[in-house]
Amino acid sequence: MFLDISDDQDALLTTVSSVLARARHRLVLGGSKASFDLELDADLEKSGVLDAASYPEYSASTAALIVHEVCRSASITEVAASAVIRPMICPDAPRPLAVLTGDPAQAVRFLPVARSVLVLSHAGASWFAISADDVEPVDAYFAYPIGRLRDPERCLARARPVAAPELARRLTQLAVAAEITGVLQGGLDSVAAHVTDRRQFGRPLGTFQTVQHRLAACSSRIAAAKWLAFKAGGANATHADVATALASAQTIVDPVVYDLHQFLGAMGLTLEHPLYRWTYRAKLLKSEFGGASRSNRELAELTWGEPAQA
Amino acid sequence: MNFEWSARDQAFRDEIRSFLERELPPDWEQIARHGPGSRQQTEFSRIFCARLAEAGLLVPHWPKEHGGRGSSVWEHFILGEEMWAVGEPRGPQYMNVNWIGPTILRFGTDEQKARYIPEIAAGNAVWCQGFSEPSAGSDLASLRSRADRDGDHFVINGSKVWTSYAGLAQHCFLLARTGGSRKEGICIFLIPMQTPGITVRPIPALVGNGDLHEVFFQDARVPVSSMLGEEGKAWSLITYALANERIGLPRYQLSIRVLGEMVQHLKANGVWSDDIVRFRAGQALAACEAARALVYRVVDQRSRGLPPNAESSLARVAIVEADHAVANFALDFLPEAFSNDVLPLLKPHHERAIAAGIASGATEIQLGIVATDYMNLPRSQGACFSISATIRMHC
Repeated sequence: MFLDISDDQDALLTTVSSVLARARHRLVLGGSKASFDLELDADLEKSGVLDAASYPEYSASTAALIVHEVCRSASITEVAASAVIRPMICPDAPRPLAVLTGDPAQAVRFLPVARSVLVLSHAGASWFAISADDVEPVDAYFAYPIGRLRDPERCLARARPVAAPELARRLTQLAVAAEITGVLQGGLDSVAAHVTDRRQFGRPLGTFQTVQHRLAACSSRIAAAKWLAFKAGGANATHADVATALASAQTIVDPVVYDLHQFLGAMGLTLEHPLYRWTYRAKLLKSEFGGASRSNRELAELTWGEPAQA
Repeated sequence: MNFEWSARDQAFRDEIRSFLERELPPDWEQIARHGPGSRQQTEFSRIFCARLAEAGLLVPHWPKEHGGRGSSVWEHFILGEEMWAVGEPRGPQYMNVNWIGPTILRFGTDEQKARYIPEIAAGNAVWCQGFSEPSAGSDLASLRSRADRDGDHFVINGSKVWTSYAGLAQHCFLLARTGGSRKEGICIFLIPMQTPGITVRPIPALVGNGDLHEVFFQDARVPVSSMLGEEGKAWSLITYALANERIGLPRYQLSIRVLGEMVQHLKANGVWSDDIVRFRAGQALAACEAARALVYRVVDQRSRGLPPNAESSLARVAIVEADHAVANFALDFLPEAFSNDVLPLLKPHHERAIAAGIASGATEIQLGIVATDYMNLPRSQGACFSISATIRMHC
């Protein structure tokens, strides 16, 4: 057991940190809820950190760590699929990578900027490259660029199967879990800074116990979900480990998002403050793979068995 | 990051499991249902801990010259996990091995070590912890019990409350004040509970038989030699003792055990097909694993010799949530099991869960520490708790 960041991982995080610092300088808020930082995306790809999981000295835990850190940023880019799934499942797929887990005609995050799509279905897993012509952007309610395939059948016809569909599914669940913990931590960092600076009734909001206690509870939940995600990326992690990570992450979204908005007050309802960049990613991520209800049931069934057929 | 157990750790866990399979009697769960402070479990602990000691598994983390085998921090923790997974058959003696013994070993005189350590290492000692007082709960430094010097004795006056195991304990690890205020002037005394002037009154409670007591000290005379450490300088010893106590955290193992038994019962009764039951079971299990993840972080830091920090409080919050998730699952789906003996560990688990957020530093204290020491939120005026003052992590 060594439950800390290794020196090698720390070096990767230093790279991530410098890339994110450049993105912070060009962060522009307002306008549409959806955004995508193309420069950040390119910088991350160029830095090589997205390929870390393909090196023997690292595992998907390191990829999850990178996802967590990048998603703490208010600048939005496609990192989870590229860092966690792509190196081990479809390294030839051009990125950014969108992931379809249900109806091929459904609206999917990152599709308007994606250059390839990973498809997970009951039949297996496959991927295909796309161009802008293949995608119809949709009006985004969440803080991601979202689109749907204009002609799913034509796209699927050119899909190439991947060799390890079950692994692809698990890694996608892990990627979602790590993305959730990252966006929630980013939101919490932002709210913690706000309640430290903002004074009401003659003192900082963060000195009130009710604020402290609820944010501390958020912190405990996020920290636990984060470490469960890292564990789920370990070399010998089981399917149950992944299910635990996803269930834990999706379960905490509602109470944490509620408290983040409560303690940022009216400012958190505007597009002039970046809180929505975190909370409106979390709100979409919590529905992936059927949401917390399905992921918790999956964990229960993996642990104690499925119900007998009637 | 490395989430794998070493071969040595795994072998140690297997050794404990073999021992438990061999030594836990078939009626152990019926004994456990009376609760850790009960006469039944206290008596059982004397037999069981003696067997553990013979097998070298009671104090493996202690130095070899005192009955230990120099086990690692992780091995010590694995021992705790396996004990909790079967309902903690060490009963009240978990305190001896986790922090009372180590504190005596570190700060005790030769005479104190000779008197108390062999008895603890043999699994035949029951101690109670004389900390909380009517006016000193979470704020331990406000304790008022007095110890006044009279020749070569101290005369103890005062009272303690919520004292677990006091009714059956032979010894008390007692805090009393010889002077000063707050953290100054506090002393530790190692005293026999049979000392004249000590009266124990059990408090009828929701948390199991024999668990809560008031202990009154009226002119109880104890020799000067019963003081542990220097007069008035006990706060750093308390901090050391309670930091050792952090290791006694794996109560989520009992929650997982009880949850698993409930699920098997529900499956046998055809309720497992209910989506809501499986959802809630998964949610409770995820809460337990969340607690485990944060506890492992604390143990790992300890194993690397890092000083205590607010992550203990972070973990403690998760442990309480996990206990309640499992206890509430039981209340929602198996209320009838509280009225029969089908699941004997259910009631002791429930009794521990309802106390989980109160004992050993209330959850709100832990949340305060997380807010200020982990998240760096500003401190409110008058808030004086800190990690060193309030890391109180026993079960």
